[in-house]
Amino acid sequence: MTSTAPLAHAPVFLDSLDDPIRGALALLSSNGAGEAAVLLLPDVLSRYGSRMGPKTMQALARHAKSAARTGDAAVRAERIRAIASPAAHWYAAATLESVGDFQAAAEALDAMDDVSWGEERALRLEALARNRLCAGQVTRAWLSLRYAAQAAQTWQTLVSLDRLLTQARQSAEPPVKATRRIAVLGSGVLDFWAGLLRPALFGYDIGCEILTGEYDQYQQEILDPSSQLAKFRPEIVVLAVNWHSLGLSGETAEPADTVRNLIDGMTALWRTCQQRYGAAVIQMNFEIPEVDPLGRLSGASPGGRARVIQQLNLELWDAAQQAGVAVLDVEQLAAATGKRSWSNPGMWIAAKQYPAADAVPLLTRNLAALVRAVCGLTSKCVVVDLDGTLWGGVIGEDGLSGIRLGGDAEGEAYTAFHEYLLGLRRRGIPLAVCSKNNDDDARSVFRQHPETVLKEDDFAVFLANWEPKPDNLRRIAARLNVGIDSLVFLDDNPVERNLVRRELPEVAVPELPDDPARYAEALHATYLFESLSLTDEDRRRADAYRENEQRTELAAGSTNLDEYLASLRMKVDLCPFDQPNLPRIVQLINKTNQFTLTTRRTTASEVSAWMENPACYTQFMRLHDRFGDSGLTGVMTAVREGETFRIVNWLMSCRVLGRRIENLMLASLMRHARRAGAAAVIGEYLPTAKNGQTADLFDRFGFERIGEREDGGRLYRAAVPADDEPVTWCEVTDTTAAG
Amino acid sequence: MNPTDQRLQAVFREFFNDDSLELLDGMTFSDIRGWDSLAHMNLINALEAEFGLKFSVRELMKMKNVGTIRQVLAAKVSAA
Repeated sequence: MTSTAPLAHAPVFLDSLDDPIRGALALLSSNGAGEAAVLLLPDVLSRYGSRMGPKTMQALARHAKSAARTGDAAVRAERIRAIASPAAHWYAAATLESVGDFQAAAEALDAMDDVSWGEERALRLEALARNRLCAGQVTRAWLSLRYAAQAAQTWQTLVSLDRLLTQARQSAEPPVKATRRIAVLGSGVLDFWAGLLRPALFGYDIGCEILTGEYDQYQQEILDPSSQLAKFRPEIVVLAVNWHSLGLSGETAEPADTVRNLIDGMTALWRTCQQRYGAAVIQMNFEIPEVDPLGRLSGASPGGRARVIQQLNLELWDAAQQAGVAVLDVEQLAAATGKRSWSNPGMWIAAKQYPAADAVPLLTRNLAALVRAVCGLTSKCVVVDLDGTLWGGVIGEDGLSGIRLGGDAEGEAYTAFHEYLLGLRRRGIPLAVCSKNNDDDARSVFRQHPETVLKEDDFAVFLANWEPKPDNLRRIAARLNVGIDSLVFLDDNPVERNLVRRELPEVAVPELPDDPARYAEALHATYLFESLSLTDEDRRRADAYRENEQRTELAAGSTNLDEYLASLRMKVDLCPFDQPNLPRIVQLINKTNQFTLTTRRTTASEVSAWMENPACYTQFMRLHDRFGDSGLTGVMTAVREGETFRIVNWLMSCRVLGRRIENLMLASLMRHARRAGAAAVIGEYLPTAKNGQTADLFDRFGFERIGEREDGGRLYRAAVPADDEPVTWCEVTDTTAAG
Repeated sequence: MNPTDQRLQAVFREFFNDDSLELLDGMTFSDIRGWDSLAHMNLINALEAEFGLKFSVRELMKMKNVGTIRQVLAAKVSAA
């Protein structure tokens, strides 16, 4: 592109370019700000301004910044805003920001609703957050910052978001649902990406303090009781070891032994992290490098590096499962992004950076999702719109024969999405419908359409009506007895998405692409459903919701509680903790928010330690009734302190409330305490935003209040009774006292 | 200043968060606050992203100060 191209011929010239806006800016910067230049920019912003890529946005912002130094920038900004294309709004916003009119800049950015996907979206939201912060609108800034972090696709954007976050934290504490101290240890230089976990976690409403390990010092840091790591007292340890550090040659002589030794080495480190710090461990698995002198023989030969790493990764899943460690699937991420983009050999050689900068957003997002799971914040339900989301067309207008579902390519894209959602349901994530439609029309598709994969029964709640979607979403959360913040809402219409985001910022509303063939990919890429384990309780959960509906109907027919409870024919098992049930126990402790007296979160290793400790009383509760098996839905732990037992955890799944099971759990502890010769039981109530229903539990059981705290927390005491009350309305099997 | 130099200056300004930064050939690590060896490699990442290219190991070894960075970029960008 020559700097002598006369501006008069610019339009013809620009039309021939892939990126006319950047072409125009280059022309302007070499031809100065003469009269033709003043006319060129608005013309360009109008003609080509409806689509912009991230590089164009960056170039426009830079140009606006330097142009703002000359006079009457604010006036020019207004004139440009009048053009009303996304590029014009963006340019005007950059100008307004440069002259300090942050409020107007935020408004201009708000008007850019066409820019809804990928990195463009992240840049717009980042600018919004920045301007809102400067304008003093901190609450709205946090929201924009959170969405920007969720949308960020490049390492640079994460870096500037981190900077913004740090800056914002100087004026106010960000609203987060949990915070954790996280140590990132491993091979190579970790500094260049570990800190970027901060904005990635902020995108999931989690705060953190991060310690980055030294180059290849992770074994020493873990094993040395006086290391920086030890002083940091990590709650989560991330082992970011990469394949370079495995020391594998092209052909391994004793592959089975090599794999065994590597696994043993890792297991020993995990154990130390768990026992010494009670930390949750996240272990990265290993990329199988594409480039190998053996080529395909690397996989074919028993000692080939590809084969060895595959074997290592396979055994790693099992070893980690046994140890209560979560594996982060680097091999899968590298494949997803493309191994040639995932690593940058030059940067590994020169700077020991792995993965490549381009891969960092994907890595940090996935890692943040795992941390979210460790915090017990995995999303719990998918709510779907119908028209355009589960089929093409509008059922109310096109009818059963007019909507596109199955049959042709577009229709099959939708049925494929049904399959994905059905898979979510099968692993325990209930589905719900929230659609603006007549109820009959909506249900007719699931009842009668020959190609539908999802059936009416697959939905735990079905709300098709003409009420505002936010109201329906609140209703769905209430019916499922989950927090509104555990819902994920999918709607093909960006207007509806933005409406829900505005009204219910706690609901997760992922962006969806135009193409239904990519809906599943878009949902997957949010990692909102990443969890630590898959238990039988999970698999049964969706069915359990249906069974609960049946119980509700029965309750409506009963006249009193005793009669109702007896008619359920309940069988309750109260058992001491054991290894097979450990994953479910840890899961329940970490995700229960409502019926929990102390909301103490814990790791698998801490729970294992309690099992070994003779001074600890552990109890899990399993409930069956005539409608089905609710599974392991209650946990109680207590510790002997002199003459008393103090209750450390007491929680139940909200699915089994209202059945007096808490009476049975407490009675079991009392029996144990009596046998152990203890005089009294101490209970604590630690209030949170969500556990208000347990505030008077101990009072109702006749405990005496012996202490009060400023925040509403209370300490209680009750003498151990001489004997048990008989239970007539339920069959109880108690094996806790055997230990 | 040619377009490549302008973009280089823009990257430095954004990277070191200093809108008034003026790049001179002789500038090295000690001249800009925050330019240490870690920041240097991250600056390289930023340059790769800005210009849409990957530096070879030979080029990485050459880029030690503003002057050599300019040289490498000038040769590489015109070749593209």
